Amino acid sequence: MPRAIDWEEVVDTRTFSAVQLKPGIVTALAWNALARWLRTHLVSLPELIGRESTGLVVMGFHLEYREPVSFFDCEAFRVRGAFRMLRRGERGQLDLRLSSGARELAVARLLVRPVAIRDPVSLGAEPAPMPEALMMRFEADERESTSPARLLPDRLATVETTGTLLAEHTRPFRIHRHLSEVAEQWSWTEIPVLVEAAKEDLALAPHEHAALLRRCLVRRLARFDVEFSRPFFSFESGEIVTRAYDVAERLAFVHRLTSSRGEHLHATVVEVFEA
Amino acid sequence: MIVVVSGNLRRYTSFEQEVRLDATSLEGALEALVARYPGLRPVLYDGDGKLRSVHRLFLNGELLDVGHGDRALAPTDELGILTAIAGG
Repeated sequence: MPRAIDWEEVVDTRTFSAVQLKPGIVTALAWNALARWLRTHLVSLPELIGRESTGLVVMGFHLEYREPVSFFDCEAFRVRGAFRMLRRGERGQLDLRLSSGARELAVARLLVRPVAIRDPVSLGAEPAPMPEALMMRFEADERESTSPARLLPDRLATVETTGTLLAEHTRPFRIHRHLSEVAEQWSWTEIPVLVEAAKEDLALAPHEHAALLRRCLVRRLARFDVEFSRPFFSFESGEIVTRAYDVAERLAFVHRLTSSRGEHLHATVVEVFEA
Repeated sequence: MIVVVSGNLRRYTSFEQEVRLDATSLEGALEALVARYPGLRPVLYDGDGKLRSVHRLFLNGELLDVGHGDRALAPTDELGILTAIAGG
């Protein structure tokens, strides 16, 4: 069985919204779980980047909420993460599980791609497999030759082809330092924060479907999927084009994060709410 | 013409994203850029004076091939420098 790390996360008032465990908390936990796994079983992230000249670029993240849990009935939960390399070192996958006693709060999958850092100053890098010396430190059941499945395309198609478009909204944003990471690019963990603001702006605006759209403020998010195409760098501006759909009486949102002039797609997010 | 700088490179241009330069060629524009911001030279160029492969050049939004060579620039041209897949 692939090696895992786990720890107890104590809940504070930021962990939950009025409705559920926040997706931005889960993304942060997932990234920290990977950092902890690497530090425990391989090398720390600073060592990986600084000494081994290897970075990890996030390609996709997929979150499924399980049992409904609120702030008042969950004072702590366990975070468990297991990491393995796929496609002969060209991909990595972290499987995350959040649980409280017998209750499973959420599961998530994080897909990353190793890159070789060619310039330590700018952290410019190129796609490259995990170095062999590091691959040798993974156990046999943590190294697979298969490629990871892409989940977003089918989920996006389901929403856009079977759903009824309710509304559309465009929201500008800027990647300030508080949304950035050490390489002066956006931190992928902040994607839920960005799209939540866009979604809530759309839901709160006057609209013929306002009552339906505002369900996203009281219903639980069931699934959050994101796939990354290219990074935003710090201080760059962009737009989130958000479309709301009714998919068999379930509210769904598709967010496309694009450059300000719309010429580049940087990320696509699909959110589906419970019925 | 304008050079557009992104990401980690902006810390070397006093965080200016768009740098207006008097240059009539691509090589001339890059040279004028590092002359104005000397700290950028070792970041853009390797020890042999070649542009590091992690940086991509875009001319008026179009990606230039790796072996693009020098070319003439018009006063209205926009040269973008983008670091490919920043690590971390």
